[in-house]
Amino acid sequence: MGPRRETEATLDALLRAANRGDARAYAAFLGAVTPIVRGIARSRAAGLGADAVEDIVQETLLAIHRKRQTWREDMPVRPWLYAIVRYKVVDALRARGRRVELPVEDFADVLPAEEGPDPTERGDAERVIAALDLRAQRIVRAIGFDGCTIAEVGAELGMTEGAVRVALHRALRKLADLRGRLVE
Amino acid sequence: MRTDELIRALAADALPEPPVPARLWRGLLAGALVVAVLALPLLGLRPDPMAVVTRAAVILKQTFPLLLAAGAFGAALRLARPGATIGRWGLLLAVAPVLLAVAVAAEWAAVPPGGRMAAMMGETHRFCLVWATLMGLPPLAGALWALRGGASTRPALSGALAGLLAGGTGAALYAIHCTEDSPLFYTVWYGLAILLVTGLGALLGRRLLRW
Repeated sequence: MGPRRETEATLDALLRAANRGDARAYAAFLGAVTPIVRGIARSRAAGLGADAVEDIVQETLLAIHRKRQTWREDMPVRPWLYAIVRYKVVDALRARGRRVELPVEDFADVLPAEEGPDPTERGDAERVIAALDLRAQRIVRAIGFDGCTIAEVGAELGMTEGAVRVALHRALRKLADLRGRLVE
Repeated sequence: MRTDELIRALAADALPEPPVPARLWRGLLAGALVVAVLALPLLGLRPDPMAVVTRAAVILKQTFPLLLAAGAFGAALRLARPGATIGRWGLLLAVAPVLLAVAVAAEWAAVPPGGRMAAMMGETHRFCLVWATLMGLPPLAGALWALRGGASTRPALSGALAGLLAGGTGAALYAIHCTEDSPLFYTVWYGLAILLVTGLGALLGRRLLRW
């Protein structure tokens, strides 16, 4: 119980800080949440293969990102998080032609999982990124692949930082939308 | 794209998403404003507006749709958060049906058997059904737009609540015009209009409120 309670408090604190604009806390939150999401996805959708599981993980992370303001600070993070994961896993399985019922409660027993050995180029992700306009693709890749900062991307593309922020925001929203549609 | 790369891109995006409650107020008010400006002047107000605050049956006619809308507003906001339930808002939703049942029973006892059908049908029930339903549509558009910013894990139910909110708002606006004051009339025809908008909300919500 000790370690669980600790993570709980940590997740709460991280997301609270993140929703107030702390990017470092947000990155830490996503990093901490990803193995939990992957553990659930893997235990529920293992039959789909490692690539599909990782696609579901990424869809869920995009969903968490877009809906992070729907978490209320006075509520624990986990039920909120599990509800999102559950919704996204069911959605993904249904889209891939399977019917599933996921009990909510037993998520607590699922072990967190590390990323599989072959995380090279993900099918869904690549197809979806290719559907963005070229500038949005360059922004997402520069920040995601190359680890550039907003300022560096702005300097490279001749855009203000504000414009890069807005473009990145729209690109990620579009990614989430396209992935939802892709599997329908 | 590897997952850690995606996380890096997500973490760099610090632009906040607008909170749902503010959006729902905005969407609802915009819808109600459309009705108030475009439809109400066309229909006109009832000639004795004071009746709305002085006669019990008229007070109920004016307020029961608002009670339903208030309950649906709160419930829809709760459901817009993953992992939450409707909670106590369900109780508020039960208030209007109870009040209506009491009013209908009293009216039923007061009106002689031969007059009940006439009281229920009134003189404008078709007009009422059409217009009360139509007046719910702009608020429905506003409410659905707002709830798209939320994350309901039950899109059809959330859509139905958006419809109940909008139907209640539309019926309350229609009541400003309508002079049919028998509980038998408004329970049936307002109720039907609100149900229609609720059903439409559920259908649309199934598609529009997925995320």
